[in-house]
Amino acid sequence: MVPSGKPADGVDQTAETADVLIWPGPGAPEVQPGLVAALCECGIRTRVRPEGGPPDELETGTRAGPMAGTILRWSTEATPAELAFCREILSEGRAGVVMLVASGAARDAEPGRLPVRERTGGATDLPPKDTGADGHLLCADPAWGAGALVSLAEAAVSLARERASRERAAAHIDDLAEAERNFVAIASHDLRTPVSTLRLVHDLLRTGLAASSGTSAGRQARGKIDVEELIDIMARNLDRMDAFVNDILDAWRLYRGGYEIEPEPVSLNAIVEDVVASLFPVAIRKDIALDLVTEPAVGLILAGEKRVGQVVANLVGNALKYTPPGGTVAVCTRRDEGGALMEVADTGPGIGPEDAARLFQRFARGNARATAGEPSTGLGLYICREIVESLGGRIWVESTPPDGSRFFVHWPAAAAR
Amino acid sequence: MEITRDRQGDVEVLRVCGAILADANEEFTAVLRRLRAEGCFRLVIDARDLDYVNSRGIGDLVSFSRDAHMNGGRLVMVRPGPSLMKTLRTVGLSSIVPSYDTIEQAVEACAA
Repeated sequence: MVPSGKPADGVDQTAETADVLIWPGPGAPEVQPGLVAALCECGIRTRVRPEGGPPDELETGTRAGPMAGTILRWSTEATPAELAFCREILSEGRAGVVMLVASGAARDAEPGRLPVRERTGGATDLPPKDTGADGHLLCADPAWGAGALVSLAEAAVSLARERASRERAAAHIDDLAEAERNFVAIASHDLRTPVSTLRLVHDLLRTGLAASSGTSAGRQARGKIDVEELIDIMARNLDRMDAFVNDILDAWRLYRGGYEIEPEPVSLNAIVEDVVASLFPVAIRKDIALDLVTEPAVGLILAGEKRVGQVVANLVGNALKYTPPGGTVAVCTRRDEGGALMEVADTGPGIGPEDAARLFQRFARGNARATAGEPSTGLGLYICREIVESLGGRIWVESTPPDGSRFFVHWPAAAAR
Repeated sequence: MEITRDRQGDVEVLRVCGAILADANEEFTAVLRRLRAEGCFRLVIDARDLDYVNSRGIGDLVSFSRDAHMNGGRLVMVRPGPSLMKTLRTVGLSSIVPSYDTIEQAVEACAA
């Protein structure tokens, strides 16, 4: 038996990642001398599970976790309990492949014809389909010798990698399909609404129902609509479409490999001051106190001026969007370890844990509604996150509804990179 | 925020120090309301030590400026800092609220 917690030759017991986790069963015989070393020599990162290790050490699933997906169950005998245990590991998604090495596990298998795919020997079968598990159970006999076991382990690792790759591809396709569905849903609403309005304005102008001459009361008396009003409506809707198209294009650029940002030392305070000043008309119109407190010692950050401005405008714009009249949006900057911290706090309704968890994903829209019906593409925070992370920064939110939200961005200092 | 009032003829001089943030808005609004009630529409704001004015404070200045014009008065400023100037320009207030280097110049312009 592999001594618990003791390092075996050639094994990195502390490795965060491994291809194969050897998991000795209770009272199992000692692992064949040199097997672990032989696996490592073949480039198979091997780790031996310490006895009584914490449950997360068993997380070898192909979706996430420290392992790549193969458990080598080293056991005494292929008892029904052992086989059930192996199937359970697969059905729970802890591993993509389980390789059971135990007497009687592969009594009908032929080691000379390895590698095998889904070889079950005569003693077991694949997990039933109705469990939802689609992993593989490979069986081997400890008497086969290190060479045959290593070959089978290679086949197991290959199967696990293949499965992981398939899952990644499937997840990517799901992701694309969801993005498409979201895009169609949002485009049909966010573009059709302003287009319908513009068409209505066009019709009014064309049919002569609008007039620019005379007083407002006079126009009203003549049943005419003010041209100036219509021009404002057109401008607002064109702005809305412009913002939507820009967000879509930005999100697409990011999805295809990100912006080409050439980071340079820029003043975070100067950018924040400019953006906040540009949003004053919105804040005044909505009767929101837009506060700004900048710490002079913040210094320079390493970023692109335009992109930092985009992030600040998005966060402050969002805060203004969801804060009711009479509320406060406070922006502040301060020094932080290795850079600068920007905080945007508001007195809006706050963000629940479910919304917060997916807030920075594409097309994510929370339950909160903009107080003046402002549009949202659900792309703004996704774009923010992509920009911030591509510059080596970090963005997150803290919120306890209904007491508002606090968005934070850590920007790396110009000297930090 | 700290506000001190000084009367020079029919011109009121408000020296505002610090920052007008959310917690100071009420006080600032109240001072302007009192000036309106007293019929004082010739106002100099000494902004030499004014670090920041938030949106609500700027909104107050916009509406006071409008009321001052309607009542034959005027709102002027003394040396607002670059940040405040930027904000005033953004909301279109810089063209209707002129700035002066000294209080004397501002008072003279306001009284004229």
